[in-house]
Amino acid sequence: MAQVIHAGRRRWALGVATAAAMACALPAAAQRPREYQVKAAYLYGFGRFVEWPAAAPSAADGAFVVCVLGEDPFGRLLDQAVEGGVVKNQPVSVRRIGRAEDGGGCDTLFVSASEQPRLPRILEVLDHRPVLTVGDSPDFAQHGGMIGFSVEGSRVRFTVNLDAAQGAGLMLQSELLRVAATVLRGR
Amino acid sequence: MTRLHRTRIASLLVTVLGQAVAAQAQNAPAQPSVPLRELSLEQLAGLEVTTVAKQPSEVWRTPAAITVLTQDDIRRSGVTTLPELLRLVGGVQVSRMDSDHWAIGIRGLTSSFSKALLVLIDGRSVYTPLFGGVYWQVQETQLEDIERIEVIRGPGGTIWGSNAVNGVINVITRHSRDSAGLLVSAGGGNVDQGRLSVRYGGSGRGAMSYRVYATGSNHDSQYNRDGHAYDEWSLAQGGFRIDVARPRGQSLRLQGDVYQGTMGERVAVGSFTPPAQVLVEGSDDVSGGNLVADWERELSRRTSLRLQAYYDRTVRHAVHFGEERNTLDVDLLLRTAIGRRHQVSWGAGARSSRSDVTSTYPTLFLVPEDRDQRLASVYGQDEIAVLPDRLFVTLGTKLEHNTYTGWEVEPSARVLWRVDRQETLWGGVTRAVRTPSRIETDLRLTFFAAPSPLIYAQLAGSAGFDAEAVVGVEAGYRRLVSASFYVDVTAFHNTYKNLSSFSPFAISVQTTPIPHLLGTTTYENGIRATSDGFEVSPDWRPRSWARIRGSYALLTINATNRPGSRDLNNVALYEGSVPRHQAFVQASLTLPRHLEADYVQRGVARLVSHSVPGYVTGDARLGWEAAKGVTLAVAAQNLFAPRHLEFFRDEFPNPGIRRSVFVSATWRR
Repeated sequence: MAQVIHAGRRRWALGVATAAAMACALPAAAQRPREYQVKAAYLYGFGRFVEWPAAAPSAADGAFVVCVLGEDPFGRLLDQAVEGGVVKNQPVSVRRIGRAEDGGGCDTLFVSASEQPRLPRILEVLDHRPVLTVGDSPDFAQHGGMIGFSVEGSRVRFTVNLDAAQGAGLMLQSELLRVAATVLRGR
Repeated sequence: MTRLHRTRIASLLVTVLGQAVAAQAQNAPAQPSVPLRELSLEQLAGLEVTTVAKQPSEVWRTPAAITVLTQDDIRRSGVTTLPELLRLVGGVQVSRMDSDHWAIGIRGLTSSFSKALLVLIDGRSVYTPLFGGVYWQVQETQLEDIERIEVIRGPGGTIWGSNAVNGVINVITRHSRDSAGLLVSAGGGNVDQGRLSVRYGGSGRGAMSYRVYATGSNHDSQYNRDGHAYDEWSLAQGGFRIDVARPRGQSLRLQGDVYQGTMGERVAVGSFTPPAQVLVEGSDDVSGGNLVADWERELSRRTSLRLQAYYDRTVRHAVHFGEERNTLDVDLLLRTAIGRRHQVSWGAGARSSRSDVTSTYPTLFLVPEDRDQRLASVYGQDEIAVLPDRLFVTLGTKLEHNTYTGWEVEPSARVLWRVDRQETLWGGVTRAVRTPSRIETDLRLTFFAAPSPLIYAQLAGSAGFDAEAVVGVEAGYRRLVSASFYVDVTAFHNTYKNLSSFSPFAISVQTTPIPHLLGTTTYENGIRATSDGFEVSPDWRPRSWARIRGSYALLTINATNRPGSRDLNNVALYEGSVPRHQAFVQASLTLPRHLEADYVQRGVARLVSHSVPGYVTGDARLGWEAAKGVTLAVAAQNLFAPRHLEFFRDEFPNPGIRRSVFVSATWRR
């Protein structure tokens, strides 16, 4: 009996050690992109399928500006994604801001999930301004943001609030609407 | 000694394999060649990503013990049947009895019928009210197109209705939008001998998408000590799913399946001619089909309506009896937000499930032969944001009327407190019931007891059999300890009353068909029980390509007879047919050169009631995407021993569950 228990324990020890060894010994080399790599690529890609009104900030400063509001979940991933990129014939730059009031100079504004408690106020500040708001918190689009990310299974999808975008004078092209998991529009 | 030796070799192999792959990894390029930003939105939407150890937001906001298996988890498990997948959910007992029968339980009440679990596939109940339980073998949904499997431990009667006593298993298949293209998967092995599966999906005009599939499998018997390889089985299934999205939040889903198969069976049946008891072996012919329609519509910004209806037919011509069952079910659900704090949902449902039974032996029949088991229910629930984003209270109840016991009330009260973005505490009290099955009300089963004097015993259903009831008290804690480490802990105390038991024998003298003494015992509700336990499930992703998760579950059950009842056998079964300890550790590695490696080590303590020894074993899978869209995989289960026992059969020697290997190729385009 004691021997059986002993054997059982040893199996566990071996199994756990093996699993740990497998996990720790290897260098970082992911096959699949990470969630925020894909989200960064989306932030860049959305720019190609949105028409800003002539009065939009990008027209003024000669750069296409992607902003991150709140805790930055990207690290270097967003900077890497846009590096050397061109949207609307303008170089792309990334700016990190702390308050929604500083969002006026952004073309695309990513609202981090950390801002969820302040979401109603942020959207109020940006209401009807030609800034594409993209959010990470649940139901971002349902709460009045323009594009809300969601993770479905292992895929990154997004919901579009067409009213919010059109209210700000932004035109979303049909490819963007076709790929969206859900499009919310007037009722 | 040899066994230990082999174990070492197996572990050594895994270690060596790990190191070899590690060596390769150091030489491999780390980044994909095309920058992600060059991909189209459509390509981005189709990319599978690795996420941090964060759980989906619904899980964070669920005040219940919920575990979600994703398509990723399903593929990486390497298994080919739904019940085997459930081994990867902490706190679920999966005991394979033979090749085509499983006893599955959550937090106890495990028996050869999985009576206390409600199982739904895309909203359609596959729990049969014939015996109260699930025919696991015929639930072969195409695994590649399952989006996720949600397993809720603990009573779920308020939302799901009767029979969700100890848990609910929700199998949710992919939206047809996400299963476009052609998929062909073929595989074979020593136990799961062959499996072929084909699916084609596409989209029509507008927002319509569809898929059709067909799948077939053939399974060998397990190890039968007396040489009777009775439990081979095979199943063929096909089906479709159509999704249509319409403006104004309208969506329509239409899906259906048909299946046919043969299931090896071996049962002991009493006989009035010598020998007085026979072991019947043969094949059960099974077939069936279903059609589900689901319509959702947003009535306003704050209110949505959902209507689901389904028809389900199951036919089983078993070696010892036959049943045809036709079920019609309609459910309506309305969700509406009232003010900023109330999310109210309410609904109503009705079901008619008609069962026609035919008997083959004079010792096994049901009275009456045919019965319509009807159900009607209303439901209401309010999720109150007491402190927005912080503190939620959910109050609700279901009122359900069934053919046998009339109205049953299944209320629940739950609280969820989000301490911060990384930490959630929840607790709840719920009542749930299991309504009588046809076996408990209509069965007449006669079996041989003694030769001289000639005595038979009869187990009889009773019209007075009441619903079994549970009141469950639960609490849970979830914490994202760091960006890569997540832990989920739950504890519970369940109190059961009216559990099924057998009455003392009443002796009578019978003259037909032969003179004999008959001891009759009937189903009654003579047992009470309590269960206590906890489940801990850590999930660690030290690197984006490495994940280690696991679970430990402790369970103790104390059952006693109610005054007047003296059924010690069933008391021993309630207490002893569940393992006190269960645990597993899974390591999942996503490696360079399109390789993925998985290893699961799992252990289950002994089942005291039938002296089924505890066991520790391992499963492994290696998958390789050899070319774009072509995946080759080899998976092995039960590595440590040629065979082991997992459950008990009373009438004949326990089949041993064999070590198995399965090699497969999948092609997608």
